[in-house]
Amino acid sequence: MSADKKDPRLAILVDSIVRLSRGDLSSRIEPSCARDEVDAVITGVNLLAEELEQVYDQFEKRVESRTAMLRQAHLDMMKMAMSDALTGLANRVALMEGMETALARTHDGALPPALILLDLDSFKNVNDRFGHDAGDRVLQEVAARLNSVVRKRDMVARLGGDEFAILLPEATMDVAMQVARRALQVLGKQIQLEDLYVHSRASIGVRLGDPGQSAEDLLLDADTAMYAAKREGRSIIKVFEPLMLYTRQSRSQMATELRGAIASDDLVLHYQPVVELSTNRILGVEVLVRWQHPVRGLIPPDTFIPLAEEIGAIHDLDRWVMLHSLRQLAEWRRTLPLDDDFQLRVNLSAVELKQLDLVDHVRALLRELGVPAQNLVVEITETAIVTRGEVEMYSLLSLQQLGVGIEIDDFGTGYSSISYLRELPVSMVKVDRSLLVDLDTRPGQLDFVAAILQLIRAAGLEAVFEGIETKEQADKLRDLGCSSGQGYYFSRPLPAGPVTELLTGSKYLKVPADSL
Amino acid sequence: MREEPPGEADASSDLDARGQHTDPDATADSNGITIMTLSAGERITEAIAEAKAAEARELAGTVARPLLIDISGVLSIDREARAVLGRASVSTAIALLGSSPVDRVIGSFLLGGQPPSCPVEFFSSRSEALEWLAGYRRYPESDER
Repeated sequence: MSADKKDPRLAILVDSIVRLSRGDLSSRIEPSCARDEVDAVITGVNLLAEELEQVYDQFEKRVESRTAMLRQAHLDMMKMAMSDALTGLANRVALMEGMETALARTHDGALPPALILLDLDSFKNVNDRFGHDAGDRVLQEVAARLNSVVRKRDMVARLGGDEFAILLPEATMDVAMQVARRALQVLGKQIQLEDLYVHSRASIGVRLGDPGQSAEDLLLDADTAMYAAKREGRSIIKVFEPLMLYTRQSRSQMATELRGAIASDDLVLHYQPVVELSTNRILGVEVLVRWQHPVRGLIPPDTFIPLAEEIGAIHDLDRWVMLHSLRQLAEWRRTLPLDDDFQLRVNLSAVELKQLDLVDHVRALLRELGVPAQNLVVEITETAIVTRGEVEMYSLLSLQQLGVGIEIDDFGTGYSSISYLRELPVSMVKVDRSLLVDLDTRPGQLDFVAAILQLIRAAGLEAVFEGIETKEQADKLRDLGCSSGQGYYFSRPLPAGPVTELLTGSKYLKVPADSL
Repeated sequence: MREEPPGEADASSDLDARGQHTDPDATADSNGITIMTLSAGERITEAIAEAKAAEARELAGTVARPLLIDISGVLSIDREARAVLGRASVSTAIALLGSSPVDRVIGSFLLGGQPPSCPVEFFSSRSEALEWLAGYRRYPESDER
């Protein structure tokens, strides 16, 4: 083609390049039959466009697949963030969201949601006795069982630890109670873990939401009901009542005050004499702690000791009592003509018995105060040692080696058999007051107590009776050959001052001729 | 210009000894060199490329040998077809034979996608191409030259 004649293919080529530059990568030009240089350029442009189109295509596909991967990862993360890894149940975040959604629907006239909170009773024991693996498997089984009692649209969540929740959107109190009862029922059945059988009963709180209520309040109310259930006796269902909230608030206030009282020595120690029944000689005293509350007055231990246990202040409380009562004993030993065998009896909680440094603490205190170990007796409840934990056994054996006396408190109320007690480093048994209640009136009760006393002796242990309130009781026990006891008949628990006076006067307690 | 294979101009030579038609573009052997011909005026699709590659493999057996690909006058070679021919790994060297600037452009795209696994050259003369390829023969028959 001559140079002065314009080749029409060039114009077509320019148009095509313009189309390509605008992003129309499908633009192609048919080369002519000449197959000359212009056709070569056309072919080259076609091939480059094809390559470019291919690259774009691959790029877009890659973006698409990466976007899909990102979306999936986001979904996975959402799922992870909203679910409990151990049980696969919804977690607290998901539950809160579920509650908010269900509560929001009440604005459009929907029924309110109900929230059921469940806390496993004694789950900590499972972990302590069988290990965390077993504990995890129990939690998984509980999750599966709870899932089996709900409808598809209900939500079962694990809030952490051994606390579970069931959210029933658009519920009535009837429906909520049905589900709660079914949950209690399925959890009542034993869980088998290979050769272990575990009970996973739960305390359950139920709250039917109010329209317009916040999710936080709904959770708090259900939680409050659950705690009420727990306190009232476990394995029961409690429906939320506003009064519970008040009780809880005042309890929480008391918890703060109790911690403060321990820290600022606002507790008071009372001492109840333990007497030799044949002679009325004072053998020692049992220490009983009281709380001198600035507003409520003297608070009895059966109110604040369970609270101390619940809020984890029992350890501090026990140490406070041990320190201050041993100081008192040291002072009495310095200033009064006490018998060498005069013993101070101090109650130790199950929690304290689990402290690895308990023995060191007691040893150091005794040394510091110059009190011989045999002048101290620790009283522990049967329940504190029934599991025979390694640390508990270590504590008991070491205390015994130190020379400290060990007494089982409230004997006859728990699980212990005499033969079981023989295997423990225990030297004394305090027989629970409940056995004396009918001693005067119930036929055969005296024989029953006599038999128990004989058993305790046969096991090589000493028996101390508590709750002796009348002369008749004291006489009968004395006749049975029982050596020591305590109770209002002899003396009620007294503050340190009057006890000092009592010990100053005589080693023998003056008792009234008649019953109190 | 493309050198016509002997007898190609004569239509009667399309008949073999038994009087049946033979394909003038069939892959053939020339003294240990595989000659692959992509038909002029045709759009080479993936299927065509696969068939050609299969013929070349069958001819070569398990031994690598030089390959001449005649692309003279080919209308276009699809991307997928280029990928098939580019994968040919049974060659010791590849000579691309073309006659026009268009053939040259198509040739440079044919094996240009990825670094060649063997020497590749473009020729516009069949004899030069065969001579260059002869240097890459490994077969005993190369002695028959």
